[in-house]
Amino acid sequence: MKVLVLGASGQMGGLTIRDLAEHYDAEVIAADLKLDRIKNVVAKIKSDKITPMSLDANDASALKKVAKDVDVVHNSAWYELNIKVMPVAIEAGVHYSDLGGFYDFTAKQLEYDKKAKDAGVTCVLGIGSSPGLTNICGAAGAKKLDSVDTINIYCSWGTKEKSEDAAFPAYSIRTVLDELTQEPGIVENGVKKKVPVLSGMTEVLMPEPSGKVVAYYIKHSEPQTMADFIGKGTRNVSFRIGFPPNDFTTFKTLAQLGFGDKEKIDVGGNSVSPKEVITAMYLKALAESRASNDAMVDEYDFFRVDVTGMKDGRDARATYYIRTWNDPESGISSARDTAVPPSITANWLATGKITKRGTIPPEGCIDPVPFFKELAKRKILVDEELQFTNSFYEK
Amino acid sequence: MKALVLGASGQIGALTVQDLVEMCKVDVIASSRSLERTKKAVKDLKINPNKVTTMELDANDLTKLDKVMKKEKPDTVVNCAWYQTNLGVMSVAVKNGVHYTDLGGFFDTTLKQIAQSKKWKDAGVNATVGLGSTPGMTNVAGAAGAARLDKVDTIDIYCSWGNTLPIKEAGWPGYSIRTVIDEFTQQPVAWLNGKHKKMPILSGEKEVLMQEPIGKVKSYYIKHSEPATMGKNLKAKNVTFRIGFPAQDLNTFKTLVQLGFASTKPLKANDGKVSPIDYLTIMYQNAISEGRGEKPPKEKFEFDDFRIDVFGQKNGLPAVATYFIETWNDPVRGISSARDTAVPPAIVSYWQGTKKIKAPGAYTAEVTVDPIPFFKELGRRKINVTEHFERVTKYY
Ligand SMILES: NC(=O)c1ccc[n+]([C@@H]2O[C@H](COP(=O)([O-])OP(=O)(O)OC[C@H]3O[C@@H](n4cnc5c(N)ncnc54)[C@H](OP(=O)(O)O)[C@@H]3O)[C@@H](O)[C@H]2O)c1
Repeated sequence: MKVLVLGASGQMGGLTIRDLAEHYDAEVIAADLKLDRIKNVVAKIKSDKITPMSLDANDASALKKVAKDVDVVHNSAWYELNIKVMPVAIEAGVHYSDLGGFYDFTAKQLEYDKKAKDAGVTCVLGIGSSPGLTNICGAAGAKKLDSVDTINIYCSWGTKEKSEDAAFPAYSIRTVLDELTQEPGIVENGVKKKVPVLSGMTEVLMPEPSGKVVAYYIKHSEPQTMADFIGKGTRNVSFRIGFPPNDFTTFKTLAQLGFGDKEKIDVGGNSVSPKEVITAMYLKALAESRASNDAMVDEYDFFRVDVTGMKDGRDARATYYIRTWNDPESGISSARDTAVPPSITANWLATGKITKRGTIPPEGCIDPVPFFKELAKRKILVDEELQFTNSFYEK
Repeated sequence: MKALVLGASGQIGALTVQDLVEMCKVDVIASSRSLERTKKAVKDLKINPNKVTTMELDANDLTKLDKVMKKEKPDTVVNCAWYQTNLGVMSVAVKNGVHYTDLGGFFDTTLKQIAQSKKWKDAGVNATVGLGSTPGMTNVAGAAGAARLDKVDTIDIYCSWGNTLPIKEAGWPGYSIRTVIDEFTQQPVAWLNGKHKKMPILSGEKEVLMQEPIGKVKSYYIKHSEPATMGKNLKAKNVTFRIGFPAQDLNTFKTLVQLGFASTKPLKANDGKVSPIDYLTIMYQNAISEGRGEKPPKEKFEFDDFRIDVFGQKNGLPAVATYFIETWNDPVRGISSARDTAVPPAIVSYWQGTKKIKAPGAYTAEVTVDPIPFFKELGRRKINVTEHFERVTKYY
C-alpha cells in the first residue's frame, strides 16, 4: 500500500504517517511545503518506507504526478485545500480522504460525487475524530434502531490535573478560531439551518474526569451530511463542544480580538492577516514543545454521540463514548483519535474493504464495529450504551 | 368482593379505602381504633358512603378481629395500621382463610412474616406483605429488572420526595412519623455479597440522579424491608436501600431525634404522663386529619420519586434496568402523592380477591406481583413508571 499524505508535518499528519508505518508498514510519501519540517517529523519514525517530499498542494500538476503513483491521497492540510486536492485525486484515479470540510466545503465536495463514481474511486469526506469517528458512531447507533429521530454530538477535552497552563487546542488553532466566529449549521425538524455562534447551550454528562460540561453549538461537518446519509427519518443533527472553562475564555478572547480575521493588517511595513499570525505562533510553540523532553501530562479527548429513535415501538437511545488518553508507552498524545482514522481508512481503501464509490462521508461507507476494533488496537476506546425506554402510563 | 381495611383513618389507609372503592370497585369495611377518625377520613375524601362500612376495630384486639372476619367474611384484609400489628392480624387472617396484605414490616417483622409461609400454604391462602411504595413498588420494580436480565448482580434502591413551593415546608414526611423516627434511630441493614450486614445509621452517602425537579441528591442507607428479602428471592449479590432526603427534612428529623422525640419512656408533663414518640405521633396525626379537610390545591406541587437500578448481565454483556416511579399530587382527583403507598395494597388486595394472585403461602411483592400489569394499573392512577433498559458494549 502506498499513501500520499499532504500536510505531513502538521499535528495530525505526523501521527497519521506514524500509524501507517507502524500498523501497516505502508509506503508513504510525506509531503508538505517545508522539507526540513517534514524531515524532522519523519526522523522520529522507525521506517525506511517514508519519503519526505516538498509539495505545494495548490500546484495541481505537480500533485497529480505524485498522486498517480499511490493508492490513496490523504489530505491532512487545511480544509480549504480539500476542494483543490480532491479533484486532482479523482482525475488521477486514486482514492482520497481528508479531515473534514468544515460544513461549507463538505457541501462543495459532495458535488463531485458523480465524477468520483465515474473514476471508480472513493473520496471519504471528513475521517478524523470529529468529523469522522462521530459520524461512524451515528451510523452505528442508527443500525441499532428501527427509526432515528435525533443525533446529538458532544466533544470535550482536558487534562487529568486541572492546570493553569496556556490553552493549547487539541487541533488546529485556525479551526478553533473559525469555530468561534462562524455560524454553526444544524438540522432541525428535517431542515438544515444556521444558528448563532455559541447558541444551543446545554449541560451534558461526559465521561470522568470531564463530568458535566456546558456545551454550545459549533460549526462542524456532521450536520451537513448525517441526516441524508444515515436516513431512517433522522430529523435533527447537532454538534456541540463542551469547552474546558479556561480554554473557552482564552479562545473567545482571541476571537474577539480579531485573531480569526483573514484580512491583512499592515504592521511595520509587513502585511499579515491576524489568522496567519496566530497560526504561525501556535505552530512554532507546538514545534518547540514537541522538541522539548518535558514529562507528558495526562490529557484526554472525549466524544459522546447520542442517537435517539425507536426500536420495536419503544423509545430507544444508542449512546457512544469515544475516549482517548495520551499513551505514555508510545508518547503519543490523545490527538491520535484524529490521526488514526485516516490511516485505517487508507488501509481499507487500498485493500478493497470499502466498496462504495463516490464522495461519501464516513457514515456512508465505513462498517462501524470492525472500525471500532481497529481503534481499540490504538487505545482509542469506544463504549456503546443501548437504552430502551418503556413508559407504563399515558404521557 | 369485600375487603377489610385496618388503620383506615391513617394517612395511607384512607387513600387505600378510596382506591378500593373508586378504582377497584369493591366493597370496603374501613376500620381503625377510632370510629370518629375513620368516619371523618371517609367523609373528607368524599368516598361513596354506599360502598363503605365504617367500624371501630383495634388491630391488636385479635378476638374482636376474629369475630369480625367470621361475621363479615371479607375476601381480603389490608393492614394499613402500624407494622407492629402485622403478625397478630396475619394469625387471625390465615385461620379464617382470608388473603392478607400490608404496608411493610420494617425488616425484622417482614422476615418473621414470611417465616409463616407454611401455615399459609396449608391453609391455601395468600399473604403478600410489604405492599406500599417502598417496600412494595420498589420490590416489584426489582423483579421487573431481574426478569430483563440473565443474571442479577446488584439492586440499588433510592427514594426521594419534594415540592415546588417557593418556601419549602419543613419536615412533612410522606409516611408515618413513627417510621421516620425508627429510620433515624435503627441501624440499616444492607444485603452485601449474599449476606445481611448492619451498617451505621445514615452511612453509605451517595449522590444519585433522580428525576427533575430533584436532580442530584445525597442519599443514605436507611433500614428498610427490601434488602431483607430481595437478595434471596431475585438471586442478587447486593441489595441496598437509600433515602435522598430533601435537605430541610433531613434537618428537621435529625433535630426531632436529638430533642429526644424517639423515646418511648413516658415523660411527666403538667399532671399527665406521655411518651415523646406518642406525643409526636398525635401531633402529626391531628395535623394530617386537619389538612385532609382543606380544599385540595389546583396545581401539581408535591411529589414522590423512586429509582431502582438493577445491574447484571444480558447475553453476556453488562446491562442495567433502571426504573423511575414518579407520583405528583393529582389535582384532578385531589389526591396527594401519598397514593403511591396506598394504591399498591389496593391493587394487590383486588388481585387476591379476583384470583390473579393466588399462590398459597406468605411472600413479599417481588415473588407474587406480575410487574407489567401492575405498572399499568399504577399508570391508571398517574403513578408513572418508566423503565430504561441499558446494555453496554465495550469495543476494546
Ligand atoms: N411500604 C411503604 O411504602 C410505606 C410507606 C408509608 C408508610 N408505610 C407504613 O404504613 C403504616 C401506616 O402509615 P401511615 O403513614 O398511614 O401512618 P398513620 O397516618 O400514622 O396511620 C396509621 C393509622 O393506623 C391506625 N392504627 C394505629 N394502631 C392501630 C391499631 N392497633 N388498630 C387499628 N388501627 C390502628 C391509626 O389510626 P387510629 O389512631 O384511628 O387507630 C393511624 O391513623 C406504617 O407502619 C408505615 O411505616 C409504609
